[in-house]
Amino acid sequence: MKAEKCASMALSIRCTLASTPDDVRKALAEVAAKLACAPSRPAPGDMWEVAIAEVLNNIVEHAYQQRSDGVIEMQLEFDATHLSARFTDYGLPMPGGTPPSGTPADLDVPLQDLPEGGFGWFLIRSLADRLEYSQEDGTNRLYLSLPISCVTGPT
Amino acid sequence: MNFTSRSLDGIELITVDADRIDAAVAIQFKDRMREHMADASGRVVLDLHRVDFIDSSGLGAIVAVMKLMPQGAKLELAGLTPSVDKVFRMTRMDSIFTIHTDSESASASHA
Repeated sequence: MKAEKCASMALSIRCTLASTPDDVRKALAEVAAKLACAPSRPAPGDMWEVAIAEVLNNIVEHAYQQRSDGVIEMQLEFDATHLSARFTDYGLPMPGGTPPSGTPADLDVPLQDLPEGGFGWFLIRSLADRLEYSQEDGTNRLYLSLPISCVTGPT
Repeated sequence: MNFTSRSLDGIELITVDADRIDAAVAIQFKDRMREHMADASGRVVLDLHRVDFIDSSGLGAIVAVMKLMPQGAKLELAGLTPSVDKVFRMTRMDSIFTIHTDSESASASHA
């Protein structure tokens, strides 16, 4: 594996999944499998999967309120420097019509008060360099772009 | 979600035998750890070297496990892979846990 700049990493993946944590896991595994056989792919330790997982988990948990019959459409486009991701769901809109600000958790508290959640939007906003959300006629659309580093050569 | 547990120089070393701690297994992880930790004492080191992915649910589950440790027992971490390490650092949770490079350095240190 060579850690050089990827001249021509272009991979587009489109998939539709059901709104359960197991389906999120399966979808991410399929994406990772496709990336593994691509001539170039995100470097080990790249955070793209965390960002995508957090978006999908939020749709499962908040837009669909843990209902398992929701539909999520995802389109990922990897190029040499960025991942562009588009998500569509038909669940509840974001409260206030805008994604949460993702304030970092307050850790300066006694042990028993440490937060066990609320890291998701902080991670998404920290990793993304562009984020757009729209809601229309019961359809939520989220677009995000994040810088990636990639490597070429066989795995 | 399986663990292997062994004693190493007076610490309990628990290796997580899974490549992911994510939203699909976070509750199961927490429940299994709660059972396991009920009679823990002293230093308990969670070895995560086989875990190459963690999301915020998994991170929350590890924080929850730390909070349910019985009095006199302390949870430490070891073997964080690059992506897991970044999640801990980005959320500043690396400042809450004692984190060792691997299980050997965990047993060598007397934290």
